[in-house]
Amino acid sequence: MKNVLLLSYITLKGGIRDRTLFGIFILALALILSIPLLSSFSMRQVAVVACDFSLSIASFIGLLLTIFVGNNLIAKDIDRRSIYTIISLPIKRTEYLIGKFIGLILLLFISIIILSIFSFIAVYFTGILYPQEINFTISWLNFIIANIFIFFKLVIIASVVFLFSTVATSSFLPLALTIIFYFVSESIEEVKAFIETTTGKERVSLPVIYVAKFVFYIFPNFEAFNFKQHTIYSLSVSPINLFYLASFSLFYTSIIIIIAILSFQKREFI
Amino acid sequence: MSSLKSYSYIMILLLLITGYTFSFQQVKLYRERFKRKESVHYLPQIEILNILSLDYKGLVSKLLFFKTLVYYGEHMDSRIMPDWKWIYQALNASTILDPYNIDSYYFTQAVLTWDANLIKETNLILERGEKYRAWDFYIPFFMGFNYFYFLKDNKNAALHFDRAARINPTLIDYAIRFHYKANEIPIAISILKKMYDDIKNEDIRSQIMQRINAYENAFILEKAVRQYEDKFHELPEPIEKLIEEGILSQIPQDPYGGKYYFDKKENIIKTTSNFRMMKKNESN
Repeated sequence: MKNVLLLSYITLKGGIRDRTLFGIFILALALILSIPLLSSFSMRQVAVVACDFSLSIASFIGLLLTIFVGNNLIAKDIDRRSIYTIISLPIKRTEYLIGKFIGLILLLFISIIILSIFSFIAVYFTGILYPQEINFTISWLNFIIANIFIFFKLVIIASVVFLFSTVATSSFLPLALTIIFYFVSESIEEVKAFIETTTGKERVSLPVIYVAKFVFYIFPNFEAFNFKQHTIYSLSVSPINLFYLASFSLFYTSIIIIIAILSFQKREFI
Repeated sequence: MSSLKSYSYIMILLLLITGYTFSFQQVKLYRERFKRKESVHYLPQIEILNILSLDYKGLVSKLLFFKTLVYYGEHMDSRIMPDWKWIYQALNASTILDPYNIDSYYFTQAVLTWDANLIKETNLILERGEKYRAWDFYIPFFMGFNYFYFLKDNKNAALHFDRAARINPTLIDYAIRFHYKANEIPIAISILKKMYDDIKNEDIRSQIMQRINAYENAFILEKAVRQYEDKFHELPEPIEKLIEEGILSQIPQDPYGGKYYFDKKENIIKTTSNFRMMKKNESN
């Protein structure tokens, strides 16, 4: 346990030393400056557009951060062969993996907090700049929920990066596979809805339909983690569904990490 | 020796910069010529767009709206007819991606009806908005307006004003008037009676009662006119013929001080007061 905490601390520190957080900070500043300008195009819902922009940007930056930093942690160790030194140290492989994972999650958590604080400021001030706004219905509680679930989504992606890293021999493969994973998970709900329509049934061949239905049960439905509309139009969110969603992401992440640990333990270096 | 080497690097760099400047100019010209040709505003199929937008559907929806806005603005400036079909498709896609996006609905109503005369298409888009933005009375109000003004369909207009009035009760007057216009006087009366029961303020209640009376009288006349029509296969003109033929014992009084008459063109009972309090000089 001590090793895990130490490793996660080192990973977090490494992330900070990499100037990752500094980069996030710069991006957040750019966000504040650009949001009022971009959203002023809107005719009737300036603050709503601002909020949509900032949440989309938070989710996108988080994605980049997870994929690139997560990929650096293990795949780079293997790529640069520094893994040889690490596995000869008195740390269990499980501890190494979990430690790094927790470190990454902490880094993601801090980044999301920074981004959400800055986007709150941006959206809030955009709302003040355009007081004639008639549809200023942003729900700040849902804003927090949206950011929390962006974080949960990133945790799932981080676990998948780790899984791919444990089987890959180069650092490129986990990167490519995770991006594919993200695309599939993000669009699977729409794809399923499309193949269930009559035009979809006509145009898509039967094997593809079966594959899509199968994929639907394997990949997480990231569309469910999207609370942007709930935030910007103050739609009601039921707490029980939030609980289910949170437990879903917890179970999914744990399963992926366990598989990653198993595959990492079986792996032969040398 | 080393200074010679660095000089040659600078020379190469200068040459490259010259080459770069030239090619940059060419690319710029090519793009400008390409853009002038117009009609390259390609829009992917909506199903594909929906899938490819991933987590950024709201953002894509808003960007599509901005693009349409700029496209429309450019054409209005240069007085070239924009491609209305494209505008319709873009706004339709924008509202499918984010069915709550009021900007797109608003713009659809503003542009596709007045300028493009695509009324049915506008109402198709607005129907989506009505389903999602259940708290927003503007959308059924717009639809009611389109039915009334462009499509001359008072019945559907009344239906949509009714829905708008359910969200914003100040619009109830529109709903009632359109039900009346659509020859659905009993519906108008029943809405008024419900209002009468709901409202506590005595002044307003007496005003509503006055209107109920006016409409009920109109309805009595309406029924009598239909009876006359069945019997004699023509319309009672003037309306006093109803008394001569013994269908009514007297013509009911308009509580607003006007006089009831039958409007042949709209096939409806009207009153000179138009169901409003008449000014002194108007009644003479």
